[in-house]
Amino acid sequence: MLLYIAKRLCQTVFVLVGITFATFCLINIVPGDPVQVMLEKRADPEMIQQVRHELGTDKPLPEQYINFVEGAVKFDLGKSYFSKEPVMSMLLRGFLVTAKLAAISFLFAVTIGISCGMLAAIKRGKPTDSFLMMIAILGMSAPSFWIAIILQIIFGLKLNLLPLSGLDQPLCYILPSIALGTRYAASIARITRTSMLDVIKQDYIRTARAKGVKESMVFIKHALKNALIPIVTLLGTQLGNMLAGSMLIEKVFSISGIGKLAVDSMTNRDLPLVQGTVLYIAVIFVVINLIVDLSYALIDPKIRYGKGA
Amino acid sequence: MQKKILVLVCAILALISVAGCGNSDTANSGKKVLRMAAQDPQVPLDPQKHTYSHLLKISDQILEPLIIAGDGGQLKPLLLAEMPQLKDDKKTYSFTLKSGVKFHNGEILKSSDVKYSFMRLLTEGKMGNLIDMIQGADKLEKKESNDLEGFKIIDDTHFEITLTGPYVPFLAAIATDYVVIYPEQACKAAGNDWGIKTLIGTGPFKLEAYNQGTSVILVKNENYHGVAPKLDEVDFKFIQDPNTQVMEYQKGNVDLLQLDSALYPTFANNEELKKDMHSFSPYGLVFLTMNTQKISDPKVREALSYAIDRNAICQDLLYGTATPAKTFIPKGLLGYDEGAAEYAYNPEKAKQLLAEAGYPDGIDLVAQDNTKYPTYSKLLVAIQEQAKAAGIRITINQVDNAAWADMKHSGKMTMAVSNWYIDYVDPDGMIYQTMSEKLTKQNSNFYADPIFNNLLNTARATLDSSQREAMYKQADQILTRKDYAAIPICNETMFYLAKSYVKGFNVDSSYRYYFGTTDIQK
Repeated sequence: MLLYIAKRLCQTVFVLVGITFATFCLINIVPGDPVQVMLEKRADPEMIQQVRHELGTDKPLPEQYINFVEGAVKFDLGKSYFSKEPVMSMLLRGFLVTAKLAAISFLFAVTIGISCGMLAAIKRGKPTDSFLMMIAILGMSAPSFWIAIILQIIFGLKLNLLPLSGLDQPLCYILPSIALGTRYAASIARITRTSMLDVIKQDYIRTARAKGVKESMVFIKHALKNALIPIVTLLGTQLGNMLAGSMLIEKVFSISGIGKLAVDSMTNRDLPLVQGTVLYIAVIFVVINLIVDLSYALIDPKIRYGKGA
Repeated sequence: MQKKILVLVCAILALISVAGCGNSDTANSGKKVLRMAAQDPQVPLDPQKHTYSHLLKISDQILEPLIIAGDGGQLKPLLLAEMPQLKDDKKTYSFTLKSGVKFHNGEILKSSDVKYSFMRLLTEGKMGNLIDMIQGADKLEKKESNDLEGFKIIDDTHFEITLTGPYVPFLAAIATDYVVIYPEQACKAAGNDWGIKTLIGTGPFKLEAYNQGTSVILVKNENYHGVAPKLDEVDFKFIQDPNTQVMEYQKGNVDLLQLDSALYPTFANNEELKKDMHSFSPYGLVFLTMNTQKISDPKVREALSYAIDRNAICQDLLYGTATPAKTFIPKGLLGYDEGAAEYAYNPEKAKQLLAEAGYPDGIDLVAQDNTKYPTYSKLLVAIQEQAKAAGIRITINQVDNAAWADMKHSGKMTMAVSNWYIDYVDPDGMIYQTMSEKLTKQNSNFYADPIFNNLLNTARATLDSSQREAMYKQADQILTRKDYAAIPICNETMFYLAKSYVKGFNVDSSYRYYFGTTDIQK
């Protein structure tokens, strides 16, 4: 197991270097100069040169990249060209916001998704099943920003029950979490239903029933546990997506999370911040995938990681 | 068990109802708090270094220049005892500071603070060009000197500024919100925290907190040197989405917001909002800028002007919120030509001009569209459609703001819908800052007519107002009627929403938000 983790971590280093190198190349290829954006009306050649020198963007590109990598190794991702704030502290601030929102959305998606999926599987072919799956398709098809606006209008404005924007009180999390989590809940429900239907045909479920195990226990303890592997794989990807930030949800609800940082940094060609957010997103996905892979062994004891893994 | 669940659900709903309701800070705390929906400036609140209009709405409450431009551009002393006196050499101004003006940290405003602020603007600021006609400014900017030679401190309240030559718009230029005065010691001590954790000025409000990405909170300056502010607090809430801003306004969570122009048609007929909607027309215009090296024949540019139906654009596309522009210098500024004829929409005349220019079968042009401004994108599409009737085939390339700025400043732009709103209330701020030979290169325009440039250079050094007016009228005529180097399209009207209890607030033509005289009367 430890060897497997070590190998995965070594691969991660190459993945991260590759991603940052690709980002660095792309941001320098696409048109758009952060200095021109910053200077606006005073973009005369002398001033442009002066600011480029201050920012270090007048140095050769390989030198700029090496400087970035050297800094990243020391957890120093430089300073934003615009806010002059260390990128690490901006990422940390964005992460704390996004992580809270992601955690609540994830909880919402998992709770609703797994319970609806299980219920649909139990009531297979009945009106409840059809109804739940129809709702799931609607949830997957509706764009999250549209759900967000509808929720704002109904619960924020018309019924005046919940805050419309910001995250300055606990209740503020409800609408963005539902808007963000709905699509994920819908896909979890669908995969839970499919996976459960596969499992409940198995002999060991029949055996459990024959032994007189209560029907609820059959579904939760025997069926759900064995149906979890595809669900956990999906949950891992979804959690990664949530932690990477949702630019649309963050915009509609005025949330300053990772999604907003990513969009602002790209719009302004704020290279240190672009590199920082891309690196953050890459790390999140790599770590979550690793956790998902390791969790397979806990869910299914037949899966073991070792030399041959 | 069921009873307990019922009680729990009821309690949660009651909590949600109370917490979710829009409430007024005034009613709760007895304080007069103005809440404005704003865009996140994303940068330190330092208008010397960052020039975004979102930032100025905040910094204008905290920081002050020496002189202020009132509505209509009338200059008034703000941190001065009287308006500066121009000496006989016509290039030296004597200043006397108002006595007893205190910064928010209690320090007394001194001449040295003014000099420090001017030098900082020249060496570190983005709008140093506003004061670069002060003697020695060029040496300071190029780091050939550590001093600003033309700024002479006489004592703590008196100083003189000598310019390289007569420059009439100087006082208007130092009345802008970029030429603000900082306390030297505090600004130096704050270093990189200036504008983030610390921002000290002499304005009616003090910075209480800058919660980056979320809000800015300002509190009343009890020692303000002018008329005491009526509000206890001003809260700027950063709400990125314009629709959410309006919903927060409808819910009563904000008292004031500038309405995104793209939303005007959605809310113009909303009975609830209509009564709170106020308009203002900043000095400026929307125009078609062209690369005169790539579209070098004035006849082609004139044909383009004839191919644009400005009335249709203003009435149908912009819902009557704009008026067709007929000059580059807008109404209200010296040099505006009231008698200028309106531009005609005449595709046949455009075709004839194209034929004369050697394009009897029409012409293919490329335009760049900045996706940051959706209204201008629609406007460019309208021009593309209208120009087809004249045989002008326009291909639109969409680019984002960063790529747009890069193309514009590196001379790669061919044609685009652009705008300009003045920084200082003077025709020089309109026409020199956009179309002078010195600056057209960075606008991808490359217009360099010697007579036109001579007029601009002479006008800024001419003290006689009527002579200046005649020069600007002539320059405008050459630019927009003879050479068609810039094609005026329209003058926009902008809108803001303010609750009826917000009193003593308006936005004037210089586009300045100021809450020093604003009150909340419920």
